[in-house]
Amino acid sequence: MKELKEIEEMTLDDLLQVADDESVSAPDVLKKRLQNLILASTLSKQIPNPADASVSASDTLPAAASHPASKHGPASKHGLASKIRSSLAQSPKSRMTFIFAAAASLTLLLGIGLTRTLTPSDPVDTFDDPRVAYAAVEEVFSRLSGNVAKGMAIAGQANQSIEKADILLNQFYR
Amino acid sequence: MTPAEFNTYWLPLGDALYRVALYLLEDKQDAEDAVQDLFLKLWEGSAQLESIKNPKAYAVMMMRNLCLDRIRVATRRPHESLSEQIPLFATQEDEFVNRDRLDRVMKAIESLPDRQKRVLILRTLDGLDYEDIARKEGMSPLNARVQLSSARKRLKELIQKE
Amino acid sequence: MNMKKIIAIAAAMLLALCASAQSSKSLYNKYSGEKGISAVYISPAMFRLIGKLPELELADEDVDISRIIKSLEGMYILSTENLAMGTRICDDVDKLLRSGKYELLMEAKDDGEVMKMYTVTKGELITSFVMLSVNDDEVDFIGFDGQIRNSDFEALIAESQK
Repeated sequence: MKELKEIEEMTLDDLLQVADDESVSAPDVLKKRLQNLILASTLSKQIPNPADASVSASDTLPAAASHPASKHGPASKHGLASKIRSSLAQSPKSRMTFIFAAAASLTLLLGIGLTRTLTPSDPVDTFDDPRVAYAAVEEVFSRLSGNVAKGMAIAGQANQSIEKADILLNQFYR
Repeated sequence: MTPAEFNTYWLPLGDALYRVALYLLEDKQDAEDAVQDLFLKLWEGSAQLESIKNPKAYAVMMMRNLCLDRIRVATRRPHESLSEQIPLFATQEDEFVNRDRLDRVMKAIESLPDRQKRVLILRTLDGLDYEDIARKEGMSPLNARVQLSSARKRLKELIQKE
Repeated sequence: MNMKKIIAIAAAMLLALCASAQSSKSLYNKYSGEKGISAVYISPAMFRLIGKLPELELADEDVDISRIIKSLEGMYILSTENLAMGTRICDDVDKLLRSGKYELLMEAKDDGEVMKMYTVTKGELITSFVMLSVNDDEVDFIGFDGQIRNSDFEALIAESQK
């Protein structure tokens, strides 16, 4: 290591020159390690230390930055109505594809060995694995929330036109 | 500052800072350690970084000071009285405890299956939403959710195992 | 008119009554085996299994998915690209909605797609949910029953693709 004195005499420009000297190569894994470090630091704050009774996970879990509802808990009916999303790109096909693809592949795997012990009125479970079923359920909720957002957006547009009309009428009939 | 912002403005300085550390400390391993230390400090104080106009200059000066400290500690003569050294350790104790925990978290992250690790990074560091993660990873958005939940669960288990 | 005929007609009417969709389950039963229809069913038993998954215990963000899953009793999904089938499903969904205490939750018409959501509520709980979506290519039906808290449900579907 260099002498303290030598370092103290270096200027910022000297150091910047060193920093920019690309003939010296940094280890390839450095970037990855730094990323992991930041990740670990972020996560370690989210995951409560057993000894750390004062820190609760809910305090430090990052709220999805652009999602107001997550900061204020479950949306009231009023809150739901006010959440207007302007764009929604969802084709029903892409949404349903996963659910049915999962179901189809499972059918292929299981063959047509439907159980006969169920009463005639009970349909047969499409999925065998609760994890896949869970994924399908989440897909459904995702689709539903997308539709709600769309509905809100459309309602929002309608509201805007109604407001515009209102303003015009008020001016006319003043 | 969000992890994504930090990623964009500060993380790319890693190589440059490594070069400064290597130049000053003249040892590759020490240089790597110094860079990691510096980034940790930067990240943990990231709230104050918002106002900095020249990240590179700031980081380079920080690295210089960090290296100076390291050299001072390393060159402290062995027969110097303990009483002079104790204050140093006392304030560093918290740091050691945190670093230890951090190391455990890092090991836990390393031990995650590749897919879960990638989804975790995309979500935590890059701040992507499930749609984007799904597109990047070639999976469905819910699968991305499932992967993330599994990763978090696994980390929780590993880290809280005393 | 002789007795046999009366009985025959009564029997036919009874059969017709039984055959008409009175619940999401009967709707599902009617169509799930038909050609051109994709069907997915998740039983109450499967929901109980899902509720026990370790992933669910680590709540993702602020929505308690675990609680919602545990409150579901059955989920029925039907989808068809066959116009004739789609029309029949729509008719039966209409019958279903009229037979129960369904209230319109939301309706959206946009770019050739019509989507409607209905719920049956009992106090603070949603006991049944139906969504019907119709566009140029496809008719989709999603129905589920359970004892879902209104506030949970709203929080869940308010959370967009995140």
